[in-house]
Amino acid sequence: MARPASILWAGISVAAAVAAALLLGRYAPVQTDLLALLPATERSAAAERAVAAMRDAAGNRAVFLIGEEDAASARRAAGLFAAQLRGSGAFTSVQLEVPDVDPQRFTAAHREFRFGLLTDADRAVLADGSFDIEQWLLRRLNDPFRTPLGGTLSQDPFGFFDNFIASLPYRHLRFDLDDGLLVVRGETKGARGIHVLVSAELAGSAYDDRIQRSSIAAVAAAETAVHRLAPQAEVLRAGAVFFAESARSSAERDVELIGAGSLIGIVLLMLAVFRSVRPLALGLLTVLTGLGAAVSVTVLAHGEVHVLTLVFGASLIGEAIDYSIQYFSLYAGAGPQWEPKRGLAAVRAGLSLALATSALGYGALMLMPFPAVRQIALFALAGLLAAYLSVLLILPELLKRPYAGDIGRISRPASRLLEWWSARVGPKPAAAVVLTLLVLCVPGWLQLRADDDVRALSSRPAALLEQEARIRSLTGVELGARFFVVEAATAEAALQAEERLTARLRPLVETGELAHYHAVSSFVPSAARQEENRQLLRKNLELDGQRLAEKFRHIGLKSAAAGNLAAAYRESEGRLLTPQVWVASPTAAAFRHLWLGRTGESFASVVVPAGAADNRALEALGAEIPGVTFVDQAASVSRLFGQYRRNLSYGLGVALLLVLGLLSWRYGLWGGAAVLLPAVLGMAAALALGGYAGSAATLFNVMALLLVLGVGVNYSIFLIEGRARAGTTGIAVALSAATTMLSFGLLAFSGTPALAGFGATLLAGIAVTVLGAPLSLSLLPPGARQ
Amino acid sequence: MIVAAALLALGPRPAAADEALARIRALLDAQPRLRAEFDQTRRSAELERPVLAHGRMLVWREAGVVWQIEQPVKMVVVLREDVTVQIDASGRRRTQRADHDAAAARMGRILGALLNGDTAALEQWFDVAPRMEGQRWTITLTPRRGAMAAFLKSMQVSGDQYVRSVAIDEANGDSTQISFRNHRDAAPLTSEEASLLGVP
Repeated sequence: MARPASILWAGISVAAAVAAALLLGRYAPVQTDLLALLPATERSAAAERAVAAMRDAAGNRAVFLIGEEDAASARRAAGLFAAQLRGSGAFTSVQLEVPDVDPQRFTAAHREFRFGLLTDADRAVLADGSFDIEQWLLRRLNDPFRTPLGGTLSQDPFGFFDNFIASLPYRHLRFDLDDGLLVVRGETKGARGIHVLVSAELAGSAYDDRIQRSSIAAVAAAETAVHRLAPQAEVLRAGAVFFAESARSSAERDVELIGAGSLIGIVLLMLAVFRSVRPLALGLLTVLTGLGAAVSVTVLAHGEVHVLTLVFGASLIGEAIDYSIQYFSLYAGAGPQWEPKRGLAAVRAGLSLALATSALGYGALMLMPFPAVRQIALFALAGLLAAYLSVLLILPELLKRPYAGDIGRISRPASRLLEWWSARVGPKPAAAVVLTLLVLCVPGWLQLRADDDVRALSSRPAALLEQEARIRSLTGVELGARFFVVEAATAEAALQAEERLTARLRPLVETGELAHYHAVSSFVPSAARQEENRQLLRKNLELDGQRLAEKFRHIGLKSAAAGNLAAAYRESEGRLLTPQVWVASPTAAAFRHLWLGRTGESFASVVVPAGAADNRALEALGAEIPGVTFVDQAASVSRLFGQYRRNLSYGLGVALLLVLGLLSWRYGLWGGAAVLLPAVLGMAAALALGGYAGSAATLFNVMALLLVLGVGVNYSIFLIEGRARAGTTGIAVALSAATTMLSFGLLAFSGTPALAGFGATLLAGIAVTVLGAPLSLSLLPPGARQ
Repeated sequence: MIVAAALLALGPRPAAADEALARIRALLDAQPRLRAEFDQTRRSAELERPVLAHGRMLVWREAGVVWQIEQPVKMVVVLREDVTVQIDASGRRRTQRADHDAAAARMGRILGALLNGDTAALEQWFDVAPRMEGQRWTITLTPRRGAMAAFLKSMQVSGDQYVRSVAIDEANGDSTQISFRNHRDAAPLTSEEASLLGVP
């Protein structure tokens, strides 16, 4: 009869596997947002919120430019494209036509506050005393190139409001309103052409894979339709959904490749070694229970599984099967004398020690404040623990009939090889091998350099990046990858801080280091600034006296206009344009996301610089103004990667000491060191090989080293624990290493650079570790425990 | 900008209109670089009486336009494809570079198209209707739907071998009438003009 614990575990395993299948298949809580993997990158909460807000502003929207050589063809192509997108039902709204904009109505919200609104250039003239009423009136009257956006002659006789409106950041956008469409004129496919803007609102999150699938398919169909009509037409796209979809499909390819590759490899290896279906089927069963538990526990703990975790999980197959391989080797070696209970007793110590060292490795990863890494570590821990329990609890129940095959055909040569090694390779030659290897490593280490580029996390396809860059240069729209966050106790203080900041940015615009910047205070000057502007106008225009009327009369303007202007000024006393008013007005349309408003106890806004200015210069500039933080998320993430790479390197040292302690407890200090040595060699060699290959050391390589330690030390443990049956143990260790190398080796082909580096380091490290594992037999002091 | 377009541009139109435009363009093409004086009259319901101005204009087709008002106020506007410069009486300059300022770029792009005789550009903005009466011609430019229509009703440009007059009717009822006289070859440029236009 089966033991109750075994039945219980079998029940739990089945439940976990079913739950995992349901979770992944039906409810798909698979996260594909790479940034969701990162911890908070910014120093202040407002900066974090700003990062999130800026992402949301662009997040659930897709933008297209349809380019053709002439306007009529472009209109036709864009019309077809938009109609196709609408017809697909994949988007909640598709915008092609825009209503005619009346500039007067567009700027109406600002008009009643116009006496407080001045451009910096006009302020300078009013402040330095060089303002001349008559000259300004005459220039305004006689300049035929002026486009009167600001209102009528009597509303804006000097053109101050006109200048203010013209200075708004809208002038940086290269869109023209052409017969109801927004167009940009520029190049298309090398020739001069015209692009029509089409924008579409996603039906959900850009990181939802169903949304991705439907919208990508709709866009592809629409593009095909456009090209059938106009083969020359250019279709440019931008939007988080395209990058997210590409990251997801790349990760899915990885999961398929690694999952299928490891499974097929394991099946072939197991069949080749054991020549029996039973070990294979049971081995896969332990893998399945491991994966089922891993997915279920991860979803329970995190609410979702990240696609990178799944990629990693696919490679866990090769590790989870190790425990059962140990058991099978014993089973096969025992032949007709097989007794499940005794077999179990023989492997339990080794397996437990192996699980403990792996748990130490992954446990160290769990301590990292990186959601991604923690999730992967939890996934691995749960998977390995479940596989371990399955071996201990289920396999003895299912593997009662003795092994029918003859493992001796391969275990005998392996046994002879290991005996030869033990007899011939004593401590001294072993030490010589170790030293030679380490010396060979030195030049490789010296060539190693660190790289903490955030791009390791994603493979952004060049074609999409290029299209995005084209859209940015054609339209002048800044996507805001770097910006300043301005935070203050009140909205007014935030605007004042913005003004201090933009005063520092303006010289950079003049020298051309910056093209321009977008700021709320360009639309809404601070209350202090508005009051200052009003005072400047009152003083310069002498609104209180009669002189303005005289000047008006002199030039030919109706003198009543002067009185009306003064009355309008007085009437607007105390009226302030505030961010709240602005946000609801039409001019906020394309820039509303700059005002974050009240965030907790404070108010915050965003200032986006455009141009080539150096990040460090901007950061230094922002640091000088209280309440201003420069945010460059790519740089923040890179900095974070660097920090964790260093921390984890120290962590690796600590883990080495912990594992040594654990091993010493069983084998004595020298024995423990001997058992640990192959893994250390593997880590050293993996680092050196990276250096020789010219690849850089990233956070992910250090993570891989941690696992070389956690997994690799098992091989020495297995070899030493199984010394009595050296042949089958050797086969088991080789088989374990082969499956691990197979699955992590396949990870080296992942489209995600971080995972590929992780896989390559593990592959090299495990290979050297397993080849070096017999060294621990040579170096183990004779007195060390059996 | 509007005036510059009118001064130089001869928009495209099919068939009969095309033929008229071709004749007008041929007339003007003979004088790609010229100077003239202008008198400008501004009328508005908000003015007691029309406001008069005069000044000089310089057109240098490969480079741009210098529009120089001398009376009753001194100001210079230089319109080039890459940059727009305004200089006031005290010499203060306001420069808008096309590569950093899309509005200035738009202005420069249209102007550039006009200077190079690229008639496709104008029809992006205006409906262009030419009319010939013997040697005299008139072109009416009406803004197409869009922001420009909100403040511009129409423009009329007329002339013979030279542009003789431009009339601008704004949507609010204001109007500007510009007449040109004393046309002559622009060469040679003074060094100041050359530097304003960026001509070596």
